[in-house]
Amino acid sequence: MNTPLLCVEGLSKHYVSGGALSRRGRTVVRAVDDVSFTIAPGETLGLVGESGCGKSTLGRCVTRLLEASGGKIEFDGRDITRQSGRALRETRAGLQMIFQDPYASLNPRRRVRDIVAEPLIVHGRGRSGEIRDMVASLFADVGLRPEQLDRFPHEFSGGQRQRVGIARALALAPKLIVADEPVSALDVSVQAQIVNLLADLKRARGLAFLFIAHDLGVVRQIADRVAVMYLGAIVELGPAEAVLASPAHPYTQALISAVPVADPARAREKRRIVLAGDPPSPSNPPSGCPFHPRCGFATEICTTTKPPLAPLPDGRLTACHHPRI
Amino acid sequence: MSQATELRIDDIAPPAPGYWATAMRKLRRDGAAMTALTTLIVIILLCAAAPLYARDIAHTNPFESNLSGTVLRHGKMVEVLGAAHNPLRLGVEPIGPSWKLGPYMLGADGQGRDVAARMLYGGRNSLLVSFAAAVICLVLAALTGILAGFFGGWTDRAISWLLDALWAFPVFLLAISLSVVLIAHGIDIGPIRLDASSLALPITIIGVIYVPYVARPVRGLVLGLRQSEYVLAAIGIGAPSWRILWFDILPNVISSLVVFAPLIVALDMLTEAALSFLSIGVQPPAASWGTIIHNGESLIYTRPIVAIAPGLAIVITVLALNILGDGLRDALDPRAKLRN
Repeated sequence: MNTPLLCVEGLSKHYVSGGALSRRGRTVVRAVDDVSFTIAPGETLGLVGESGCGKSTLGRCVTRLLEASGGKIEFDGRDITRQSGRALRETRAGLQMIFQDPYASLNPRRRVRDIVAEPLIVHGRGRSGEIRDMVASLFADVGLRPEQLDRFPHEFSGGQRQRVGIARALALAPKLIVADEPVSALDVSVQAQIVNLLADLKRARGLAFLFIAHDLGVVRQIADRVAVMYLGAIVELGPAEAVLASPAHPYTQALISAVPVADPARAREKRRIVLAGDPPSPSNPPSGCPFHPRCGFATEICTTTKPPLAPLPDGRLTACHHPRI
Repeated sequence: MSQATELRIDDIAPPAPGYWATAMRKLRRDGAAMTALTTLIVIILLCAAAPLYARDIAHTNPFESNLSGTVLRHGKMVEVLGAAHNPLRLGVEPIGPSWKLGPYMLGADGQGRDVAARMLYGGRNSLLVSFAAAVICLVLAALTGILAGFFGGWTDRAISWLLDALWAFPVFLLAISLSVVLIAHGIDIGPIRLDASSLALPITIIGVIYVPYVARPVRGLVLGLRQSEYVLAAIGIGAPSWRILWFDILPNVISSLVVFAPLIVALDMLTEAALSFLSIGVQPPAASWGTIIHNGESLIYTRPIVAIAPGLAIVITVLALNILGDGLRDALDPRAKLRN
């Protein structure tokens, strides 16, 4: 692999609540805890995990919408962890974000033409006439019609709104797009259209994606590699086919067994792993391996020692004392 | 083809009108709000015409006492201040109201001045003070609320502390203390020199005391908007703060200020009346509805119209302002659909 486009090292995001005067004392919520990964140019890394595991927090730290508590983010060869002002603005041109909720991510008071033109105006990418043309061509790229340009967001369906959000993210011709659950708020029929659109854009423009999702079916369609997150940490990271076909971490296995299978014959063969209990609170994580209270394979060592993210013989990484190979 | 399922019937409809155009359409269909608005406009026009009324109909100067004047009533000349009807014939009894358009329609006050003419002149001051104070209040509240909510941190702490300090006083205690001190001495600080009788004093005092009541909700609104995904998206684009404030924050704040505006004008009008009634608002010889009520206080048993007329004017104006405020709230709520 050539030099990575994005290199995240030991990234943490901790929230501290309560102080010296609080009865419960200080509690630290480790929303993201010591996460490292890389994304190569043009590559799509799928980031999966259940709700509340820190996926979105991680995405927002990478795009600098949240300040990381620790660790390092390198983008396009530059350390952007503490960038500010003009340098950060330039970084942002290459590092855009698509949001989960297409209803909340567009200002209801602005026409979509102005919403899509905003990044071009902010970065001074041309005169007003040129920007008009660029917006029209972006609209065509995401499959919207030019006569819809003067409408307000509420006049669009969810899928169309998400296309507007994608057009805005594409406007500055970024190298990496962090897509935070871009389809989970949409109808299933529309989800496929948006995923296809993103896959087309990825091929046509050589875009890299950090694609955050909780739906493995969606990730399967678009990701080159997959990272599985549990309680703020990555528990498995490897090529998409390998991770999805033969998951090594018990948590990944449980996630994959939860994906519905369309073929009833195959569905009968399938063994469903149902996890007991809820994910533990990130403010009070269990000792040792954070997954051990819900794991069917846990032994003595799992309750005392946290397993490191270590390579398996086939090259993928997993954080488990007893990987299933 | 892949888009076929996304086509909706309104794809062929013309683009929707803007936010304010929609709100205006909704407001125009709201009978109560339009009645209130018409009432307010009539009151404002009447008060604006005060000099015309005084010159051409009442033929009087409402700021000069007329202790020994006479006026034609039912075909004979009557004294404006007649002898009182009590058994001891002590004091005077001002002339009463009449149904005929002309001098002393609403009777005279204790100094023989035309109450109707004073009502119109007083209305000018009441309206001027309450509208100007509301503008001061809304501008200051928008500024402080937006800065505190958007920038957070120390900016927020400093502004919130100031607002809390202001809020800690009961409104009327603060208004009365400020007015007593300032109206006794006027203001003379460097370039700012205000006469004790200047209208700017009550305007500023009434404007400032209600700032926390508007700034707080504005701050809360901005705090919420600051976390909204479309503001995050604007930050992610690299948009400078002023663009985010201008395009994403201010339009939302303005629509809630528009809803607040008539309510604040109404509050200001009541406060002005209260201060003027206590002689610490609008200063004589100028009049306001509050000072006329004050003049009418001593005549309450003989000529109650002197106190009731300005009282009714305040009630009608404040009621109209509140109904208009409700109508604006409904019209500006994007969730309330336009009914056909």
